[in-house]
This record gives sequence, structure tokens and C-alpha cells, in this order.
Amino acid sequence: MIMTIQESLSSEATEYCEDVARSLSAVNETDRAEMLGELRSHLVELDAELSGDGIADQLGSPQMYARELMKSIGIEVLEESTGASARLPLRRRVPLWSSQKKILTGLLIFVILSVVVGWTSIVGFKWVENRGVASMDDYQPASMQVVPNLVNEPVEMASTILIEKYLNLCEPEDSMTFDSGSGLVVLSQDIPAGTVVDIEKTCVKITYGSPG
Amino acid sequence: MDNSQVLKGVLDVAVLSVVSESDVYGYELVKRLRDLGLSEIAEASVYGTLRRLYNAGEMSSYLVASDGGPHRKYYSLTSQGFKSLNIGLSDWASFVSAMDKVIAVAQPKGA
Repeated sequence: MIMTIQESLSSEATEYCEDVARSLSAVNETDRAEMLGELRSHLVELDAELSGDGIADQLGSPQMYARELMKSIGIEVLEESTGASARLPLRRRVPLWSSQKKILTGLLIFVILSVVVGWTSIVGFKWVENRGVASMDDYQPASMQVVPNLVNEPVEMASTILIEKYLNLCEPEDSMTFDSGSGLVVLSQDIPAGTVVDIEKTCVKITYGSPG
Repeated sequence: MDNSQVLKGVLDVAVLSVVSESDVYGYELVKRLRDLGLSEIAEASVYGTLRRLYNAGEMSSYLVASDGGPHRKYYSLTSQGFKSLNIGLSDWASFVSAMDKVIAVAQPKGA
């Protein structure tokens, strides 16, 4: 059975790809899409071999992976650390994440989160109290999103599925609106599912018709 | 010895060499390089190098269906890629030759 990359990826792998995509802002769209496609393929293969280790243990953090990619294609990257070990995944180095470090880091994160959550709750409560109901206009989605699969979905659902990802349907030429239960389905989409795109520059074009 | 800095300088030749042997897809290339001894090589460095060599016209690519998984993108060398490989191999041979002479004069303590 042939599977699409998106179908084959675990949720951890999908999240890793999205994090890498966010860190590749300095890369042009074509290179970024190609390199993310390669990463997804790699993760599909890697998933079959992972034995308890996380993806970040194998490849390094998404930010580190993106930094290494950019350096390799010749983009100047500011180093956050000058140590050689900072550029290599954990699996191929002396383990940085020893048990002690994990515990200490966990505690530190817990304390920071507690402070942040407490502070946010107080400030947020006062803000809502002053302003009334918070508006969704204040929410800023990530600028990069993964295009969802639309093929075989009812055509009237295409726009809804895209909106959930903060994406838009390209305006149909005849500006046709669809009644629920029209029986028409999406036959193809111009941007393949799984492609990471900039939501501000992208609309997805579909063709539709009767199923089968 | 930390080989990561040395690798950066010779990764192009390493990648071109393996791809010249037979067409490979990214994951296979990473494994092949590690099997050949470059165990510290980072995946991102390999994929970035592939992309840069592809953009420079030294590689071409094509998709091949895979049983039970997504299509794989195979890379092969173009004639320009083979020329770069020949130059890289020549440069490497000169470098190794020079380094052999340099380290021959070394006087390690305790030897």
C-alpha cells in the first residue's frame, strides 16, 4: 500500500517538522519546502528504527537541525554556542542529558512555568475584567502551517478545513457557493497535503466534482 | 579528535563520492556515510549539502515509489558533479600528501 508522507508521520515527527519549518525563515520558499520534504521522508524511515529514543535525541533539537541545514547550504547563522557538541545530536556525543541534568532542568522548567502561569492568570483575569470578552482578533497564529489533505472531502468542507489551519481557499472563478450535501467532493488540490506554507502568501486551489 | 570541523571541509567530496557509486536517497546516504566511517556526521549537514549541490547543478533527482511508505527522492551526479568530484579528489590527495609530510616531522613527547 502506498502511503503519503503525512499519513506515515507520527505526531511527534509532525511537530518536529513544524518546529524546524519555523526556524528556517531565512531560507527561500523552494529550498525550505524541499528540505522539509526530505526531513519528513527521513523521519518516516527513522520512525521505523527508533527504539525508545526521541527524534530530538537522534537529530538534535529542531532549532539546531535548522541551523545546521542553513549553514550547510551557505546561509550565515549566528551561533548560539561555540562548542562543537552543541551542533551535534545527542546520540553521537557524550550524553548531555544525564539523569541529573534532566531532573534539574525539569525542576527549573516547573518553577518557571508555575511563575508564568500564575502571573498570566492574574494579568489575564484583570485584562478580561477590564475589557470584557477577549477577541479572537488578538490571537496570532503561527505564520507557517502544514497544508491539510482536502482530496475526497466534501467540497463544502474544504474552506472550513483550511480555516482551521488559518489558510484560505483560492477564490473560485465563478464564486460558487456550495450547499451542504451537494454530493461534490474535492478531486485535487494544487498544494499537496503536508507542504509547509506561509499562510499570508498562500491560498489553496482545488478542483471538485462527483466522487468516483 | 573532534572530526566535525574536518568534516565540514570535506563533506562535498564525501557526498559526491558516495553518490557517484550509485544513486541514493537521503536517508540511505546518511547511513552509507556512517557505515563508511563518518559516524559523527549530522543528518542536517548531509541534507543541506545535497540541496546546495543540487542547486549548483551537480546533482539531479528523481522520485521512486517505495513499498508501504512515501516516495523516495533519489540523487544522481550530473556531468558537472563528476567534474567537481574529480577536482575534489585531486585536492584531497594533495592535502593528504602535504599533511603526511607535515606530521612526519612531529616529535611526540614520550616517543
